[in-house]
Amino acid sequence: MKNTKELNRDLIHKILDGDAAPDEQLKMIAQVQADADLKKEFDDIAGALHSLETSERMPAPPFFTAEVMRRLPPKKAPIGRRVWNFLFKGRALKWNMATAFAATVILALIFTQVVRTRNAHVEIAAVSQQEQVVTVTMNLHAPEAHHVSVAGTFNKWKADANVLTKQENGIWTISIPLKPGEYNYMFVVDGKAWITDPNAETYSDDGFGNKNAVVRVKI
Amino acid sequence: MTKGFLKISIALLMTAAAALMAAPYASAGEAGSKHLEEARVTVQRSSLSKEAKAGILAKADRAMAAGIPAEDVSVIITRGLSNGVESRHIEGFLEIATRTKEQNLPIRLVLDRTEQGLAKGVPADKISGVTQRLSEHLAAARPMVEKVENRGVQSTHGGRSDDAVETVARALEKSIPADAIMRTGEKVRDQKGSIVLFNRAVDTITTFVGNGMTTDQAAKMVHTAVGKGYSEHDLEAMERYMVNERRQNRSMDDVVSGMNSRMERGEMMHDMQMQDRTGGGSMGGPNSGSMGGMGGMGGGRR
Repeated sequence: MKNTKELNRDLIHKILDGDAAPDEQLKMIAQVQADADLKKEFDDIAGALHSLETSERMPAPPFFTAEVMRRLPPKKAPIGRRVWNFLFKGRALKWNMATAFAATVILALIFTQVVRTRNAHVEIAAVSQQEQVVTVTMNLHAPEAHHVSVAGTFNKWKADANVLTKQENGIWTISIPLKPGEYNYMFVVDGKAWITDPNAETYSDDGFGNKNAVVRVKI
Repeated sequence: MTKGFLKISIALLMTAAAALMAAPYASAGEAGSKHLEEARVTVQRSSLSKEAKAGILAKADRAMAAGIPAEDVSVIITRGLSNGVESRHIEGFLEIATRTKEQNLPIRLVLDRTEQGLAKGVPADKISGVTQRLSEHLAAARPMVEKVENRGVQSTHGGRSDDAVETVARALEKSIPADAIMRTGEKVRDQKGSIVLFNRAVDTITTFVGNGMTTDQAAKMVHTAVGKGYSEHDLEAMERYMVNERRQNRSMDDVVSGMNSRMERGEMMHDMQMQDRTGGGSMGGPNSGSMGGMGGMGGGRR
């Protein structure tokens, strides 16, 4: 149920809108004259209306409607449509120098890695051919020896790098993986005696008055 | 993407790129540094005078700057010091190797001879003399090999010319005349052979001479073999034949006679070796190779 104030406000709007009947207008005028508050409210609304009616009408800027429509929350398309748009809708590429540079660096890195990987395959292939090794077994019959090793061009003549293992029959033996090539070597017995392999494939002068044994390793 | 994020991304990418590109060089340098560091520590811990230590390290730096592998520099220094070799001799070893390298000559033979001499306890002055002469022979060998190649012996890739330079230097070391070496080149050229065959032929002459054949006998036999179209494998087989015959106490004259008669019959030594092989000394396939050597202190091949 509306109170008197609310009823009067409705009547004011009707009058200002030109919708009030003549008796309603008369009744309102009488009330306004009698009630100072109501009169003030009436004058305020009438003044605002007058201001609106007399103010200059500014034309809407171009694209106003389009801009307003753009700012409206988008209407959600169905999921199928959204997927279709994601996959097939044309896109305009926005770019700047920084992103272009970053993209170039990424592409260069990828390209470098691809080339390097390819080369690595070639290198691995080339190396693996060279890296193929033959396990060479060397034997020395030295039942009295306490320690036998073999030194040669394959271990920079390190007398303690490749130690032979003694078997029950007095034969010292070692198996060494060697790449294809020609190697000079000698046995080192008890850390001091350098012994030429008596059954080597061939021999080579060591330049110091002794003979090195020679082994030629082939695949 | 914010500007800050973009900048950080670019910086990270460029750092990663630089790291990736530098990685192989870093690992190689790391190995070299390790060896050099070992050598430095050995020198610093030695009882040498301050001047002597500085002298060795200066030579080591120069050797490495010339391109001598750090591992070899380290081996020469540490082995020399542990053998009690005087610092002037160690400096001398490095100096000879450096000068050889600076002449763009193959260095492996000089380094190997130095390392081998030190390992075997050869007196330092003898090592110096041997390596110095070897370096001179390498210098003399280079133009000889170039001349052989210029006269039509086919060059190959992969350092085969350097192999030939070392082989010729070893031949000169055994007092094999330059004329005999150059005639070998002519024989190889006439057979349209490559530098690999030349290398093997000169090496076979050196091996024959080193095992007691006269230079004339060795050169004549190898020249005949090359003239008959013997391959590198055939020449290697001739060496094995000679070694096996000598092992059975045959005189060198008998060995030479035997090889000559086989060549006259047109037999390829390689084939002949395959037929005659009694299990001596040659290599089988991968993982099956074996070497004799039981007889060094008695015994025979297993």
